[in-house]
Amino acid sequence: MKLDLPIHSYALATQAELPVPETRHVALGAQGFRARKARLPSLAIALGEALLAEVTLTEEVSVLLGTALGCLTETAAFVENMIAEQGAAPKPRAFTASVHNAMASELARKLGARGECQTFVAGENSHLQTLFAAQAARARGSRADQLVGSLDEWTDYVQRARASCGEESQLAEGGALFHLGSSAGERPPLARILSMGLARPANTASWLASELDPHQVDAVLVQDGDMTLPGRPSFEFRSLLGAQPASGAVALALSVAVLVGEAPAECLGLQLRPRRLAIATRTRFGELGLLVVESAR
Amino acid sequence: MVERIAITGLGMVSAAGRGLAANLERLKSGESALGPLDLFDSPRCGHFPVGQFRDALSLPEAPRSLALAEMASREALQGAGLAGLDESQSEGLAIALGICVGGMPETEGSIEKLLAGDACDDSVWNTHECGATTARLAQELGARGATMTLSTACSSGAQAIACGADLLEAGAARYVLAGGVDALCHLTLNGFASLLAMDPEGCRPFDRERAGMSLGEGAGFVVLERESEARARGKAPLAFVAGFGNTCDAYHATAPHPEGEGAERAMRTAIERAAWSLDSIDFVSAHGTGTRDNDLAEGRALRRLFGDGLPPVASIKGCLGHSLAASGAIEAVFSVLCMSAGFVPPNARFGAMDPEIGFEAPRHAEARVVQRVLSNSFGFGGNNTVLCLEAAN
Repeated sequence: MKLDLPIHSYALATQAELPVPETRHVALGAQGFRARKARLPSLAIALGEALLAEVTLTEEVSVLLGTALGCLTETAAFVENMIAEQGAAPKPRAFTASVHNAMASELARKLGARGECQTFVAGENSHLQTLFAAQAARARGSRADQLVGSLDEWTDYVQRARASCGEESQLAEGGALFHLGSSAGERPPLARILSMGLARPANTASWLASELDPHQVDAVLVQDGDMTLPGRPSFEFRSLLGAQPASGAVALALSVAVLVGEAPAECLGLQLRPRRLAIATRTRFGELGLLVVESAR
Repeated sequence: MVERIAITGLGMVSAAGRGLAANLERLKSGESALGPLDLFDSPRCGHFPVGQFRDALSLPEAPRSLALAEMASREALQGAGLAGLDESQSEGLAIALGICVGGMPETEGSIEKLLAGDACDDSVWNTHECGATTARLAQELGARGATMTLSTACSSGAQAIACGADLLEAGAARYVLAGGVDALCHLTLNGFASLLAMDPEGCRPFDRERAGMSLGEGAGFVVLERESEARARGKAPLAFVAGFGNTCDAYHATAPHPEGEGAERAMRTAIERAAWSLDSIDFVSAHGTGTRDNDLAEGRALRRLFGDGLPPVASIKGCLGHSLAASGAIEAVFSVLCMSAGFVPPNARFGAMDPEIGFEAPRHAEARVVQRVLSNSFGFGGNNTVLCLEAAN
C-alpha cells in the first residue's frame, strides 16, 4: 500500500541503550501496579509529552496506538486479586485501566485530543496498522495532527508463566510514538513513510523481495535473522532491542534517527548515512509486515 | 467515498442463538434473551442476568472467542457466496476484527494454575493475544489477505466495519470480513460488577428505572466489497456502509461526556460523510447499554442532533445484553436485517420514559420501510464510532 505520511517527531522508550538524543528517549518507569498511575498509559503520556515538547497542535488531534498485549500490569493486578479474593474485594481502577484502548484514551484525554482514537492489537504489526489508519484518515480528508505508534510491557507474572512453559528468550518492553503533522502550515518533516504491506504469504523471502522491488532501500531492518534477504544489506534489530512486540515501532524510531543524522549509521551496521530504509516485522502467528521510510532532510 | 461499499453477507451469534433467522425472530419479538449464567461458576457475580450463547459451538475445543467468531463469519461468507474460496478469492479476503477480551477466558484458568504453583498450560501463548483470534480465524476460513485487529472497547466491532471500508477504499483487499466478537469471562463480569455498572434485574435501556448494563457475548460479521465488484460477480448488495464517524470524548477513563459531546460529533461526522439529511433517517440503533450515564448522555446527544425530528431510537441490548466488542457489529447486522424485513425494532425491557432523556423507545416492532439506519457504539475512554447504513434499492 502506498503511503505518504510525514514524521515530524519521534520518541521512544526501551531498555536497550540506543545512541539517540536524550530528548527523544523516555524512561520506562518501574514495574508494578499503582492504583492511580496505570503503567502503559503513563508511558504513552510521557512519550506524547516528549514528542510534542515544542509543538503547537492543531485543534483536532487523532491518537492511533497499537499494542500486542495491552496493559498487562493492571490486567494481572485485577485478575490475580479476583482469584485470590474470589471476587470479594475487587480493584475497579485496575479493571478500567486494563482495557487495551486505555493507553490511547488516556493520552487523548491528557492532550484534549478529540479526533479519531483507535487501538490496534496485532502483535508485532500493531504499529503498521496505526499507520494504515493514519493514511486512511488522510484519504478521507482529515487534516488532524496524528499521534501513532506502539507500546508493550512485560510483568513478573508473564516472566514466570513463560519460564514455566520453557520459554527462555530475553524479554524486553517499551515502544515508540510518532507525530504525523497536519497538512496545514506544517514544519518540514524529519522523514516520510512511503509504503507498507501486510500479508501472510506462503514464502517470506519472495514476498519481502516483491514488496521491496519498487524501492531502492539502502538497508532492511529485519526482526529476525531468518528474514534476511540475500544481496541486501540487513540488520537484525531484535538482538539489539530485545524480544518485545513493539520492537518494530522502536526500529522505525531508530531508523528515523539514523536517516536524519541524530544517530550514527554504524548502529545499524552501515558505514554511510542511508537515504531510505525498510523495516520488516512478523507476528508470532505468521503475518508479515513491511514499511519503507526515507529521509525528508 | 468514491464508490459505494456494499454489504453482501451477514452473520451473527448471540444469546438469541445461532444464525440470522433465530436472532431476527427473537429481536423482533421484543422478548429478552437475558438469563442466568451457567457457563462458569461465579459466586459473587453469578446472580446477574447475562446474554449467554447457549447453543453448541461448531469448534468446541477452540477458544470461545474464536468459536463464536467462526460460526458468525462462516454464515456471513456463505451469504456473500464466498463459502468456498478459490486461490484468488483467498488472497483477496481481508479480515478486520474488533475484540476486547481475546483469549482471556482461557488465560484465566492458566493464571489460576500459576498462582497455585502449578505449571502454566503453554497453549495460552497461542490464544491470549487478541491478534491470535484473528490469525486463527483467517486460518480456519482460508483468508490470506491482510488482517486488522482493533480493540476500542464497546465500539470495536463498529470500528472494525469502518476499518474494513477503509481497506477497500485503499485497494488493499477485494473483500473484507469485518465484525466483532467477545466471550463472557470472569474478568469482564467481575470488572463491571466492581464498577457497580450492572443491573441485577437485567438491563433496561433508556428506561426511567434503569440501573445498569447486562453483560453478553456473541459475534457479528458483515462481508464488505466494492459495489462494482459485487455486481460483477452477480451478487446484489444487501445494504451499503454510507458513512462513518470516529471521535474521542477525551473526558474520562470510563464515563461518557455527560452531554454526549463526542457522541454527537461522531454522529454528525458520519451523517455528513453519508450526505444524509436528518429527516431521512428511519431509526437510530442506539448504544443504549442501560447505565444511567450512557443512556442519558446518548439521549442528550440525540436530542441536540435531531431536535424535534428524532426518529425511533432502539437498543437491542435489552434483548441480547452488551456483548462488548461484538455489540457494534451485531447491531449493524441487525440493522440490515430490519431493512430487508421492513420494521423498526422494539427496545426490549423498556417500560417508562425517563423525563431527563425525553423520548419513548419503541416497545413493539413497527412495520415500515427502513432505508437508513444510524448505528451508535460508544466505548470506555470515550471511543465513539457511528455507522450510517443504507438499504440497497
